[in-house]
Amino acid sequence: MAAWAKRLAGVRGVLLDISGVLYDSGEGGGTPIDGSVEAVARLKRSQLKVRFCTNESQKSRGELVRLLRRLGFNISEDEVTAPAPAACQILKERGLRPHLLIHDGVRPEFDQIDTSNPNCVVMADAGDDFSYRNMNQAFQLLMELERPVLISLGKGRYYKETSGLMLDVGAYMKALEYACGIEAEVVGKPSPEFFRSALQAMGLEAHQAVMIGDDIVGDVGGAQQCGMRALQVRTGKFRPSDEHHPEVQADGYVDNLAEAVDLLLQHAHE
Amino acid sequence: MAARRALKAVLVDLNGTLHIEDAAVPGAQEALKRLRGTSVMVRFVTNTTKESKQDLLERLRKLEFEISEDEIFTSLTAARSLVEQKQVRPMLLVDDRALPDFKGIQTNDPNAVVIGLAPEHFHYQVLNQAFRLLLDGAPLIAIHKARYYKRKDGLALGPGPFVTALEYATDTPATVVGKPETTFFLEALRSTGCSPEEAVMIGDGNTERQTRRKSALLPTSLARASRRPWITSCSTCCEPLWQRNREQLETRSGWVPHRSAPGSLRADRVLPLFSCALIRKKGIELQPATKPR
Repeated sequence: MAAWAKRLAGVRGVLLDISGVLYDSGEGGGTPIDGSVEAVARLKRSQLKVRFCTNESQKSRGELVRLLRRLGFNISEDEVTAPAPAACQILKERGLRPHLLIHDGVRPEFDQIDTSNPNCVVMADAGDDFSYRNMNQAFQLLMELERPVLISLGKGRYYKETSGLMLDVGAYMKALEYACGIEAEVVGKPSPEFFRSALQAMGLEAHQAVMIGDDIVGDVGGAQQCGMRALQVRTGKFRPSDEHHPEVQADGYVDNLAEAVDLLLQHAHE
Repeated sequence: MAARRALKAVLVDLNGTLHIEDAAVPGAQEALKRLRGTSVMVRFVTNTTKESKQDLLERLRKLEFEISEDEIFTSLTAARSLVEQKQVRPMLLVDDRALPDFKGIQTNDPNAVVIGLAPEHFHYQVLNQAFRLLLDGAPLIAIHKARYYKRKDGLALGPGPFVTALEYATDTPATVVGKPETTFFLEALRSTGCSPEEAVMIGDGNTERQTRRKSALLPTSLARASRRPWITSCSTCCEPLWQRNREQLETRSGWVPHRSAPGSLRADRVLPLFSCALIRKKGIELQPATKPR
């Protein structure tokens, strides 16, 4: 048994990444990762609090949850912390009207937002909608603004789909940053506010929670910076070099969510 | 004391120095003829991602410049050169009009990515393909990293942002081969057999803001508004030379040194500098004329 698992003592709640931990998106919606459906069920039956912390921004929470339930997962919308609602909150607070560089799937999250006469750009994982034309539109708008504001839902480099690795919003965010000479504001992992809001929703302090994710920097590094423990799974976008990351050392490396849950249920109550 | 250095090669920028769009800069044809009368080797250099050497040649010949194809060195030439050196098979994300400059290069089963200004290639599927190649270890060669360019309908994203996107996604830097990268100038000089200390670059200073100072090849701040030609030197040795002789240069030639660009002078006339006594007197010797080139 992994010696490091003792570090899990005292954990009272788990933050679960979705893509790459629960399932891989892709054809027909996606495919659950082996053992993950049962792992979530076991967590729910245990004393541990469970929350899902995702940067998913191609689909609305509703669509995502419906898809996951179809795949057999025990999950509901109010258990999910996602970036679009967090971004909407910020837009309202600051009186920002966004030009949306997004995939249609996530548009329902912005239904309550005034998008007329935009004074900022909000970008998400637009996937195929990251056409040159759409990127250029966003760029031209930013260049015309006196005070250009670019909000990015996450800054991931890539994620895993069933067909292979896919460029994520972070790459396109960097493109616009470079083109306009500005810095984007990131809503979503690894921003500390995002993790804190998930912890708040669980009613836990950082040191009582563990994050389980496939992104060594965004999930694991980000969570640790907030004072949480974090486990790296070897599914999803994981690549062997992640185990020797120059800056981030996970509290533990597990093959998948199922193994993580095994260890948690053994050690969390010690 | 300024060392006497023989001037053996001259790199001449095209757009803005020899011609501006489709019009020759007044006096430039004559100046070039006089240059040919010396033994100095000439290379015409330019950043382009969509004009092949043939296109450039035609345009210049129409403006009555005597130039041969092997005197032209573009950022596309630099990219090809690098591809050949690395012996890779590139995925070419370049304008169709640039493809002739890559004739003979193997491109199927690519293991490298070459990226220029090619908006028609900058959509998600293609960039994702490139990304996957790069993640597998393929090198990324960028013709240049311009942030944007002017189109009729306003500003449009250049290749720079997409190169940056790929660099970030793969955590590996691109090799940029166009001006003002050192690689570009060194490659351009390679075919002349001359070293930077033996060469001079003449340009109009209309270069991207992100000029690198790695090799003191170009002044750091350039008057973008001005289309007047600058004279800069390829080697740090020449810079003190210009500075020391600034006063004399002013009075003798009517040139005005520009404050923001130490080590370079703003010339009101292009290219006559070669025939100017100034060069001979200020420690840069032209070799005695042998055969015109």
